[in-house]
Amino acid sequence: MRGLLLKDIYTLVKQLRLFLLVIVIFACLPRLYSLSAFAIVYASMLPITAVAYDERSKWNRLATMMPYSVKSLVFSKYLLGYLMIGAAALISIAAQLVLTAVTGSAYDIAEVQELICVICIAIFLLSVNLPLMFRFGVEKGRLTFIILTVVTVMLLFSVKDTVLVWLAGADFGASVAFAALVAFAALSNLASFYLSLKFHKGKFA
Amino acid sequence: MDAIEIKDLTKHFKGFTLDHISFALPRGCIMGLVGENGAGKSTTLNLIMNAISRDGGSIKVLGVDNESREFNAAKEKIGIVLDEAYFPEVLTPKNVNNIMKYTYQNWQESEFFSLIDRFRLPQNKSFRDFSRGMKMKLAIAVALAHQPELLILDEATSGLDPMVRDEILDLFNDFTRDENHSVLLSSHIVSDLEKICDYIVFLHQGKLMFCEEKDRLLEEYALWKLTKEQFEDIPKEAIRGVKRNPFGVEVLVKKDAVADVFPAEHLSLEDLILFLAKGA
Repeated sequence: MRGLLLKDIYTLVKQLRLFLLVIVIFACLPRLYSLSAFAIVYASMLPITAVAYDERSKWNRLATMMPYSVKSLVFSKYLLGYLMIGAAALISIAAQLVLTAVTGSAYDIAEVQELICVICIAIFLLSVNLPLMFRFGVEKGRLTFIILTVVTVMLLFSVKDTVLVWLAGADFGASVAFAALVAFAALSNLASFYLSLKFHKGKFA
Repeated sequence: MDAIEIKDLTKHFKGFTLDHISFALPRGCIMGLVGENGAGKSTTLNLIMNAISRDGGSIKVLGVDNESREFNAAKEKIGIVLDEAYFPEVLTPKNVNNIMKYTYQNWQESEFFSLIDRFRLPQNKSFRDFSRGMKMKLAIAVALAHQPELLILDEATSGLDPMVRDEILDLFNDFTRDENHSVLLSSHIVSDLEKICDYIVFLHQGKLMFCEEKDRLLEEYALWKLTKEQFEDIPKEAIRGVKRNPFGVEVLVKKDAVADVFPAEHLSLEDLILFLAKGA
């Protein structure tokens, strides 16, 4: 697993220096601009780029013959995503702490909760993206993701009034909604991992 | 114990079937896998490494069933070289060393860098800037730097100039000086196989035509240049391949099925394979 992660990190660092720098800069910007959220979501897309480079070099043909299990080949991409999201989030927290120390203002703990929500969204996006990449390849996978996003947004718009009425009537607090979001992100990743595993095995059947 | 033992191996694809292949690679030997494009060489190698699943038959590699859980541990003792390097091209040999250190438990850093030096490869240059020969040398260094007992090579010498090919073939020869070390290599370049192989496996349209000791194989067949009249007199069951030209007929015969009546021409492994493939 460490070998696989190292390979992806070397490749990303060498190919995407500028983009990684953008992630770091955005993560450091004050929350006011919401760009740190963008940095975290963008970090969740980096495993897709790693899959693209694997595809280009046909790395999987060699990797399946090396002492890597199929599980570790697939899980390494999820782990890369978690590490990248985690790194962007930590940079963001560190930058906010420095900023509050410099300006003398108090660090609002609600910001951490907000950050965790963004992390959950990023992890959810990762869980949608990776199975598509393993099933269709990066080019078709990206297209499928865009189509899926458009269809989902259209569906949400068509039912938004009903949902808003239901939400207004529902009597659950912010903490329940927060816990539900975290659980949803975790479960979607679990399901996503087994789906990716199945797709990856199918490719080499 | 054989290094590789294959029995009744079968794999179906749309439009192609690898059809009940059986052969064994004894330890300490070099075996060449030869056949035309699409004959099933790469499929066989992929099946041996369990990179694709088989439809029938059995495969044991270094004594381990390649579909068992233990096979992942056995992969530690197998060096792989494919027709390309297949590493992301931004990596340098130094990066590759760091990655492989966490891939193979037996990774020998000093052995890797000594091979890199021997092949005169730069350690800090991305290998997208390498020539094809340099890329293949890097792949070979990776395959040899984790103390393998078996090398599996898929068209590893194709597209290389004769000097580099010779250098690489010498390396494989050195590798089998240890009687526990074995090599299975597929190649289009039959002269390479003739140079170093002990055994030849010939695949044709997914079927095993033969698996024989190379020297015995050349002893079993004879190539005769005959007139059309002389050709008519040869028993048909002895004929394995025929090439007609305006001056007569070149015919490959099985020696034990015919009397030794005509002077034999020099028969190379390449001639033999071509005659058998066309006559098959």
